[in-house]
Amino acid sequence: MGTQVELTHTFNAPRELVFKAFTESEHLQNWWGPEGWVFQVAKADFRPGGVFHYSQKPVDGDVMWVKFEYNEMIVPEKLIYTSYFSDEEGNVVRAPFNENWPLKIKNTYTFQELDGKTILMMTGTPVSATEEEIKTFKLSQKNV
Amino acid sequence: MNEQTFSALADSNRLDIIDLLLKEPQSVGEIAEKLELNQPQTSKHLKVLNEAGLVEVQPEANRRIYKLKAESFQEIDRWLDSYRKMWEARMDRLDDYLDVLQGKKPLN
Repeated sequence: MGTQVELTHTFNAPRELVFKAFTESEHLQNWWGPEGWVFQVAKADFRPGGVFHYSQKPVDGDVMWVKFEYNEMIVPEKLIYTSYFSDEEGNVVRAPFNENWPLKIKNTYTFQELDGKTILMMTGTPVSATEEEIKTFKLSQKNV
Repeated sequence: MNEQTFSALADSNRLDIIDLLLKEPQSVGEIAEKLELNQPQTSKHLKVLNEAGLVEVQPEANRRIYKLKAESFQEIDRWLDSYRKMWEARMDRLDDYLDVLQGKKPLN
């Protein structure tokens, strides 16, 4: 019994390229979001301690902001970041489409190269928010 | 489901308790014995699980029997399911994009 999502996927591409696709804005905007969505990068600082902050807009929906905080990055082997829905300023908010979505999710990726292909192993684990974040979150809810 | 649910599950002893309760409802004493924990510790974990809405208590004679609350787990399942689906779609998009980058397929 656990609450994490684990996925493994093999890409028909060398590891350096797959890793770049995950860590460069020019690449991310081409595949990260669903087709037809407008994807805009507000801030991109791909290194441990850095953030990636972007907005995405479905064809008939409202703009959603998402932020990643990078915990670890070993080029081109490993990537760990915490992701959450945010407002335009980067404060954490509840997922716009599902109130049961965890506030923050820790995403861990490992990239292994095998015969020119790349095996990506990914886990997504809900992170419990700190008391301070919960307080901020509750306050922001009151102001809605 | 809320933040409490996930933090309640972010503990190996509590996950072990959930595993035990998946088999059958049982008392604090039984859980403590099987997991080799002392009773106060076990009660403390059960309290956290109870407050997170993951377990419920049923008095039976002079014992308190703990059982899982199915609804909470269905909510977790729904989250896991939607997260997984989102990722599967994303992997497919990256497959296509990598093909384009490597000149195996035109950008459409």
